Parts: sequence; structure tokens; C-alpha cells
Amino acid sequence: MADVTLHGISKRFTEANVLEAIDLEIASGEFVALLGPSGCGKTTLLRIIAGLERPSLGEVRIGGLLMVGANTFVPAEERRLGMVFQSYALWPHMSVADNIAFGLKVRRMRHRERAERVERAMAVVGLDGLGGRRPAQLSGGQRQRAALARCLVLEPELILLDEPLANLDAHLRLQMQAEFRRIHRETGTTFVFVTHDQVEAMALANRIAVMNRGRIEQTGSPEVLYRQPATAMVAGFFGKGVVLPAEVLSVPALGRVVASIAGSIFEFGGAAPTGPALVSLRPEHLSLVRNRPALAAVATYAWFRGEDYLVSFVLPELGGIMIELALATAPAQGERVSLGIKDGWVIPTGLSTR
Amino acid sequence: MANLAFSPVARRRHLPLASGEALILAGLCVYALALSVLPLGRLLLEAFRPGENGLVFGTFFDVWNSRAAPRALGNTFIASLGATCISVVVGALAAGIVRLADLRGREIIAFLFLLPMLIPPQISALAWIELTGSTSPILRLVGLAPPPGRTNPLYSMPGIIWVMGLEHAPLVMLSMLSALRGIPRDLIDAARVGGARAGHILGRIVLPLALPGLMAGAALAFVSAIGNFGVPALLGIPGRVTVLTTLIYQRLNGFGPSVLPEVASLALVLVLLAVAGLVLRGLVMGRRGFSVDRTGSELEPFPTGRWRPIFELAAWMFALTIAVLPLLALVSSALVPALGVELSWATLSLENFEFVLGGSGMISRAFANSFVLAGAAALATAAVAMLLGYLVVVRRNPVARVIDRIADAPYAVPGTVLALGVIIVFLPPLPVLGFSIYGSMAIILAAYLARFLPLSLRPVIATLETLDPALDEAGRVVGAGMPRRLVGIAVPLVLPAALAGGLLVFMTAVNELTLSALLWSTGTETLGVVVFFLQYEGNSPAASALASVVVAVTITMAALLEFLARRFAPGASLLRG
Repeated sequence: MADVTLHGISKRFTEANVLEAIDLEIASGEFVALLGPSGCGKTTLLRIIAGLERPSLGEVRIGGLLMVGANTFVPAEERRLGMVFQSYALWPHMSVADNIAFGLKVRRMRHRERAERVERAMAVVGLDGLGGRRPAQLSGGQRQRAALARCLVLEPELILLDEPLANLDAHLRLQMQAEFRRIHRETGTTFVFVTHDQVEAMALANRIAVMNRGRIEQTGSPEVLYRQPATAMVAGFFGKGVVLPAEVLSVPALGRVVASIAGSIFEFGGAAPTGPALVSLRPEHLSLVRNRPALAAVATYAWFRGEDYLVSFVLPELGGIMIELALATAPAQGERVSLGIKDGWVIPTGLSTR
Repeated sequence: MANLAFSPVARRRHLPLASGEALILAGLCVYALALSVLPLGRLLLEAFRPGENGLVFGTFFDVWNSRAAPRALGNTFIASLGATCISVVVGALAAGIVRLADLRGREIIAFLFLLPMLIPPQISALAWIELTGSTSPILRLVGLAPPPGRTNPLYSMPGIIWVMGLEHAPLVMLSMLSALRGIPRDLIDAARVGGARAGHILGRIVLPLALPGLMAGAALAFVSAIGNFGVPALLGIPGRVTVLTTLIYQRLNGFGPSVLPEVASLALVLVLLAVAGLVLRGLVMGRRGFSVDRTGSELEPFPTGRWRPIFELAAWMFALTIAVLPLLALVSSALVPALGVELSWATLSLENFEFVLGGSGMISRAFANSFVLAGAAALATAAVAMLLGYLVVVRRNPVARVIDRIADAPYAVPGTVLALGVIIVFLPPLPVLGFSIYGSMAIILAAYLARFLPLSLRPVIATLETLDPALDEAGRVVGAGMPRRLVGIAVPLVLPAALAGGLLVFMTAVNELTLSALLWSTGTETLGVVVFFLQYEGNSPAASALASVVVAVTITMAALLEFLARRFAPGASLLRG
């Protein structure tokens, strides 16, 4: 099982910098997601790991071996890793079995052993008996499985997945998520996958690297990213909630701050120097209150979801920022309410203004 | 999973220029240099050689101070402009009939309108000569044939303009069809909802949007007319109307390679005219003027309602007159036993076909030569197209992209120019080998390989561009080197397109006259050359018979190609491409 080390990876196309000084360590056997909005550079980073793209600067090591360095570039053909493409990239003129066997033929494996390995790989992904079909005769989910089998059959120590679930419908997506988890567990192979869908990232990955504009904003477990976002981008992109401007007044204990939002004073987790900062608030931190420090809010719209109402509020004291809360009963449109804040996470502004 | 065989191994730590790729690239460079760059480059140098008095550009000025050259240039210009006018009128009408009116059998009408392009110029000229001459079997039927002894009216400037104009009308039609195809139906529907009538929609929306396509087609027709040799050779030489291409041919034929510098100076002006036309076309294409959202559905033909039968009748008459009637004349004049005999059931004879198919040394040799040359050119250009296309599209190799650009040049310049360049380069003995290929089949093949590569290359590149780049990348990731991916992944996927392109090359080369007219010698006659000479000798029944056979072969292959292209390689379809 291979670990991956990226050091100082930068990629420039003619004008734009697609990646800027990316550092990332992926341990052997991890399941890591590269998560970010489209155009953040996540796919380029994956292609650099694969050897399909050459970085302008930086080092890539896979399993301790230098793949990319100042005078080194090992092309994709020689990296011996597995990759599943967003389009699956199954060769349309070959049968499923031939697709899977192609890499083994390249390695000059003997026919008998090759047939066995292909059978086994198809069994692992649940494609038994479909080896004779053409890719065009497979459903979307089956194509995904065939692409995965094509990569598993080579028993790579690192598997890269580029938006593997983007082309599947919601039901199949859940099913394939479970498959990926199972195969990761059974093979112990290192998985790195790219997605723009945070739910998918949370469902699959042990660790997520959130990317934005060619940089990694934060790396951590889903829980850490949700509870302790390091930047406003992560707070906004990962999970629901709102980021509000605040003024840190004092630091009562390590990891706690007292800050004011629109004149009301609350206590939050996190660390920041006194002065202006941002606070990430999740829906569970907020409730309607009376006679306590609170934010003024005006209900604008509510829709009935079945188990509750989803109510939109504007915060007039904060320039009309919108916030959504699930409530058992809906206030009337235009009603003024007080929002109490139980907790939250402070984000120092010095780090979040990118 | 501790499988050592599959741990990432950094075997080679240098730049990923696999040796196979470098070798292929080197081969392609040699192909482009020897067949395109050298011939065209040497031609330019030759044209600018100092004259006998040692002046810079002396030859050039000597030639252009003579009487013949400026007159030929003037004729070329008049003939090309006139022919372009005919092409535009006929081509636009044809496109309108095929695309804008809801006539039945439009596909067949479209194929008829395309026919003049499939038939080589010298055969079109021959067919029109047979149709309009005093012996015309068809005009005699209706009593309109000119009296015997009168010179055929086509042996004149208007004759050249008419036949060349029809020959290149399909270029205008195809260009305008593709422009019409780009007009979204929504635009028409929006106008209709706004209350516009059909005439209004045609004049104010359809025509302005199709105009750039029409202009681009016109520029292409102009360039083709400038380089046309077959029509002025058959009509202009007897009619004493000399254009640049026929002047070059007559000089070189009369005086041999010693006049190369002189004819190179003539050719240079041909190149300039062609380049001017292509630049014009580039400008029109580049500034299409409007950016139209092309996501909607395509334009639908306009309903012609109760006028439909009349429109249909007119369309069929039009198409049959320009495309089929001359061919009928050609076939029927091949069916008379000797020149001047009136065609009737009593006189009808297959002697000419027997003569052409059965026998004489030169004709059977020409069949063999043309088929071998065209077959070799088709196979070689198809193979080169796959290699080059793969490096250009999939590998995005910068050198290959330059070669791709260069490959268009020998097809864009007039064929006469390319043939001259090939003579200049291959007249002296080859380096290392020490013998000259001048006078052999090899020199004709060299010209074909340069001239027809784009015909193979375009459909291959179009198909490669529709392929998902990840197909090749997936091959890389599983460890396949470049030659392996080329053979195992790319070639099977582009083979139909390469075959269609090769077929197009075969069809074009087997008919070709312009190149071989300058390159042939005894023993290496091609079909085009033999048709030309039979007619020149006055044996027009035999010429017609041979031409009829060639047309039959061509039309069969065109139908096969269209069938293949529609099924497998959309880029190579003549009508839909």
C-alpha cells in the first residue's frame, strides 16, 4: 500500500495559476477526498498524481519513490497505479473482459493466469458473467464497475478516482458508495478521489482536503471540517450554516473566545486575537429565545417540509445576511424574532481573506 | 496485496519521449519535408532565380514582360471570376432546393447536384463537348444540334466559364448547406410568431445568416477555378484560350525541363492568386459576423404547399440538366461506331467499350497504372493520417501540429504548382540512392502522397476529436506505451474514418489529370492522361467510352463511401460533413 507525498506542487497554464504550492501527505491505506468547487484545481492535482499532467514546480513521491522532481518525471505508463475516470473511459471496441485484461496483456501475463485474474476482478465488482458484453451494452452502474475492475485487476497500491459517482443517478450512487467502501476495506489500497459533492466526500473519505482557487484550504476528518473550519470558505462550502462578522473581545481560556456580533455578546470555540474576526454558525447552534443575548432577525419565508418548517430569516443589523433554520412552528412573514447562539467557531480574519 | 510486481517502479527517469513516438515523428517529418516543404519551397526559389542577364528576380521579370504570360493571367482571372459567378448562382439555388423547400426526394436531388464535383474536370468538359457539338446525339434528337462543320461553341472563354462554373458549384452548395444547417429553428419560429411571412423570413433571416457560408464557398470555387487544368485543357487548347495552367503545361511539354525556371515564375502567380482566395475565405469564415446559439434543433424546410409539384418538377429538371444530361451525351457518343455517325438502334455499337476495356497496350496500362497509383496513395495516406492524427489530437504534439498545418499546403495550391515542385525536387538523382525517379511511377506517387493526404487526414482528425481523451489516458494508466495504445486503442477506433478517407483519395486519384499531365512519360500513363489524349487525337468515341467507364467506377465508389461514412465516420460524409 503506497503513501503519497506532494510537496510544493504548482501548476501554471499560460495565464492562470491552477495550483499554488500544494503540500499534502496521504498515508498508506487512507481514503482521501479532494473536495472543492469546479475550477479549484482538484482534477489537475489528481492528474498530476497519476502522471497525466506535469506540475510546473514541486515533488511527488508515491510509495517513497520520487515520481516528479526537478529532473525527474515518471510518466503515467510507468507509475503502476489505478485510475477510474469520470467518463469511465472504457474502450468501446473491446469486450468488458478485454478491457479488464488489456493492462495484463501489456505486462505480458500468460493467458491462463490472465483469465483467472480477470474472472476474479469481475467477481469482486459483481460483474460475473458479463465479460463478453461490449461497454455500450452495460448500464451506467455496470460501466462504473467495469472501470473499477479494469483498475483492480492490476492490484495497484494506489487508486485514483475522478468524480466517480457524478454520472450515476441517486440510487446507484448510494450503492456504488457502499461498493467503494467495501473494496477499500477488503484491499486496503490507498484511495484518492476527486469530488465537488461534500455529502459524497463525507460518505467515503476518512480525510478530506478542501480545495479552493488552487490551494488547499484545510485538511481533516469530516468532523473537524464541520466543527472547526479553518477558513470562511470551508465553513461556507462544507455543511450548512452562516459565517458572520464578529469582534473578539477577550480570550477567557485556551480555545475559547468571547466575541460580540451586532452588539450582542456570545462565547465561541476556536482561537483568535482580539479584534475583528469571523464566526461560523451551524443550524444546531441557533434557536429562538427570549430575554437573552440574541440577534434580531426577520422571518421572510417559510416552507413546510413535513417534519418541520424551513424558515428563512434576514439579519437587518448585519446588512441583510440570510440564514435558514428548521423550526417546529413557522413565525408569520415579517415577524421579528430573537436568535440565541449556543455555540460557534471563531475564524481569525487573517487567514480567511483569500 | 503485497505484490511486488506491481509496486510503482521508476524504471526510466528521463523525459517521456518514448522511442516509438520519436521514430514515428521523425518519419512524418521526412514525409512532410520531402513531399511538401521541399517541392513548394524549391519552386519559390526557382521562380526568383536571377535571369540570363544576372538581375535579381530576372527570370520572373523576363517571363512577365513577355506577351503570353500576362495574357494567360488575364484569361485565368476572367475565367475564374466568371466561373465563380456561375458556381454561386447554381450552388446557392441547389442548396436552397435541397435544404429550404419540403420537396420529395431531396436526398437524391442533393446527390445529383454533387455529381459534377465527383466527375473529374476533363471528363465534365468532354461530356459537355459531346452534348453541345454538331454530332450531339441528344441535341439531334430535338433538332437543336449546330450544323456539321461548325466549331463547338464550348471551345471558347464562355465555354470554359460555363463548365468550370458547374464543376465547382457543389463547393458553394456544400458550404452553404453547412451554413444553413447552423441556423437554429428557433430563429425561424420566433420570426413566425412575430408575424413574418415566408418570403420575409428567407430574405431577412435565412439569407443574411447563410451569406458567410455562401461567400466562403465562392472563395473556394474561385481558388479551384484558378487551379483547374482539365477544363481549359480540353476546351481552351482547341479554342486558343490559354490560361496559366495550360500555358505551363504547353511550355513544359514543348521545351522540357529546361524551361522549369520560367514556368516556376508562372506558377508563383498561380500560388499568389490561390493564396489570395484562401485568405479571403479565411476572413469570411473568421468573421462569421453573428454568433448564433447552436443548441436548438435544426432548420426545417419551408412548406411549399400546393406549389410543391411545380417546384419539384423545376428542381428535377434543373438537376438533370446540369448533372445527368452531359453524362447521357457522353455515354451515347461512346455508343456510335465512329465519329460523325448518327446514333440510332441500327448504328448502336459497343465497339468503343470493347476497344477501351479489351485492349490496346496504352489503355490497359493506364488502368493498371491508375489503380496501382491510387491504391498505393489511398493506403499510404490513410496510414499516415492515423499516425499523424493520433500525435496531433491525442498526444497534442507540437511538431505534429506543425506537420498537420503543412500537410494542407499541397492540397491548397493548384495541382500544376505541386507537380512543378515535385519535378524540381525529384528530377536530380536522389541523395544516397543515386538514381532519379523522374519518368517513373514513383514521381507520380510522390505527388499523390503530398496532394491527397488532407483528404485522408480530415476525417481521421474529425473522428479523433470526438473521442474521449480519457480513452488514451486509461491506456497510459494501465501501463501501455505509445505504440501499444496507438495500435490497441486509437487505430481500431479511427479505422473506419481512415478507410473512408482512403476511399476518397482513391476516387480522386484514379481520375486525376492535373498532376499526371506534367509527370507522366511513356509507360506511366494514367487514365486521366489517356482520356485527354484520345480526345486530343480526335478519337472522341473512344475517349467518351473510357470516360464513361471511369465515371461508373467513380459513382459506385462515391455511393460506397457515402454509405461507409454515414455508418462509421461522420467526418467523411460528402453531404453531411
